[in-house]
Amino acid sequence: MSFMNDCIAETAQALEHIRQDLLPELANPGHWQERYRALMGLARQLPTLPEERRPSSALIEGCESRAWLLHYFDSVEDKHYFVFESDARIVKALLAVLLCQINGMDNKTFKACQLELCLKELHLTQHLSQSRSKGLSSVIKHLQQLQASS
Amino acid sequence: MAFNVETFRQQFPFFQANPNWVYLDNAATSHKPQIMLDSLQHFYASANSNIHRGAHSLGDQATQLYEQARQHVADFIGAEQAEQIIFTSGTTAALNQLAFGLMGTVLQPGDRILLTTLEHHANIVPWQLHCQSKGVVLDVVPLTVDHQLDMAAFSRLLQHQPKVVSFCHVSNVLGQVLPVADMVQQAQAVGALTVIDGAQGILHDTIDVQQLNTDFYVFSGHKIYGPTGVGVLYGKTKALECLTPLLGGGEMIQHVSFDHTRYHQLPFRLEAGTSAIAEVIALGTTLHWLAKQDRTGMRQHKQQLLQHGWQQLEAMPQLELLSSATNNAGIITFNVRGEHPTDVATLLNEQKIAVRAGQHCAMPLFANIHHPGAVRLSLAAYTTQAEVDAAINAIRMAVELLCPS
Repeated sequence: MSFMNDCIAETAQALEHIRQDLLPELANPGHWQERYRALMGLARQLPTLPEERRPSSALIEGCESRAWLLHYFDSVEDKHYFVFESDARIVKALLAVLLCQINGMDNKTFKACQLELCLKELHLTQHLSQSRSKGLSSVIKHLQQLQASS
Repeated sequence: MAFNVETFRQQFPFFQANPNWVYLDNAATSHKPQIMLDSLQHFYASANSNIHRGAHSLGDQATQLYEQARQHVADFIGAEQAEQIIFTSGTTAALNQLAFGLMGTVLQPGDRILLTTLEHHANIVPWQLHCQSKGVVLDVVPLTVDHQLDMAAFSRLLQHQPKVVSFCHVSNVLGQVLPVADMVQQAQAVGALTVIDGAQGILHDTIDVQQLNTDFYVFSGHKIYGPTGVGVLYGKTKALECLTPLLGGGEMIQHVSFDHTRYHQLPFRLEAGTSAIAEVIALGTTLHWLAKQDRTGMRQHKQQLLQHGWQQLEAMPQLELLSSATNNAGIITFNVRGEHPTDVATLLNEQKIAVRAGQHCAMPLFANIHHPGAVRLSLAAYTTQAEVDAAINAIRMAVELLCPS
């Protein structure tokens, strides 16, 4: 478990950095190249989840590339944490953009969070091809189920 | 006169409607010439009636157009008789008809079928669905290390005496052209029936099914400038007679009672229900038109583009090319080292370059060559060198974004 604890902490730290320092850059609409350059840089900040820590139960259905999402709720601290991985860099970056806005939330805030708005405000959805958007919708649907059951 | 790509391209209205796009997904579907669109429009606007049954002469006229299309298709592939052309909804439907139709007549439990590693799912799953469950065994021809079909293994596997040997004419992933004439000859020497999946091959080369001597050849209309929803199952008469109809219903029946049904003769026996009449006629018109084009010039043009694109992509160290420059119908398949193909396609899509990324309905092939998928550029005769260059520049940009130095 200590490995996963480290992984949760490391991911949380990276996501916090992304939220504070990199999200504002993404929110300024510029050239599409700049946007993707920022996304790639952002993906590189995140720790890699080793193969053996990617259970098939965590695989998100509906993605063209594979993506894994693990969720932890710390009931003592009342905080939701996420650990994730994808074999596609852009997907990993987009997951980070989404998750950095909700990682570490308390249960009440998490349940009330409008997930679809997290990407829209960054002008990201319009830049995604339909199949990519479909993959992200699956992630959002998965998170909404978590919201409902939390 | 040499083949002129601009003149040819002008016949395809899609490009005027989408001047900003570079379309290199031709192996998925081709664009449509005006003559095909006119044919569809003309049929529905002026000649629309159901076929083979009307008590009125409008029906006769529609039937005549439909049967003329059958003749056009027969002429296009060099079939001996128009009755050897069965219209289906596409290649997949044709292969399903074959797998279902041969089971119990040609194929008995314990028999073997030989396929290749290069096959599209449409040439795998029907055999599994209809035959394997009844105890028919599938053998698969492997690839060599350089992703070529292992012809020595092919000959070896034929010693198992398969009853059916089914293979693609051109690989939809790698573009490689199989030595189909040789394969047919070898397969028939051990008494097997041969099926060629011509979905990609039909556009590549002039086909003469009698010269090929194959028992069956199947293809889709939409990949050869025709409409969607129509495909062709060609068979030698004797081979077609072995097929149990997959679909029953109107059109294929001579007499029905609740005790017994007598089927109609070929080709109607295998065309149950109302056909895609307008699409069949438009396909016939398209193939009739295509036969009059400079097909050698078209093929040469495509080969020049292939070599041009190939050389530039091969010079990029970040790329791994999966398909080969020789013996290739016009498909360049590659990966950016260490990157996922869908990421590359996303970045190409941003630059309005239409390609396909993923496993291209050929999962066993990708498992075999140990890649998670690949990016595929597929060329057509209307593709210009400027488009290939635009795609290459876009790939450079994608590489720069994915792996900054």
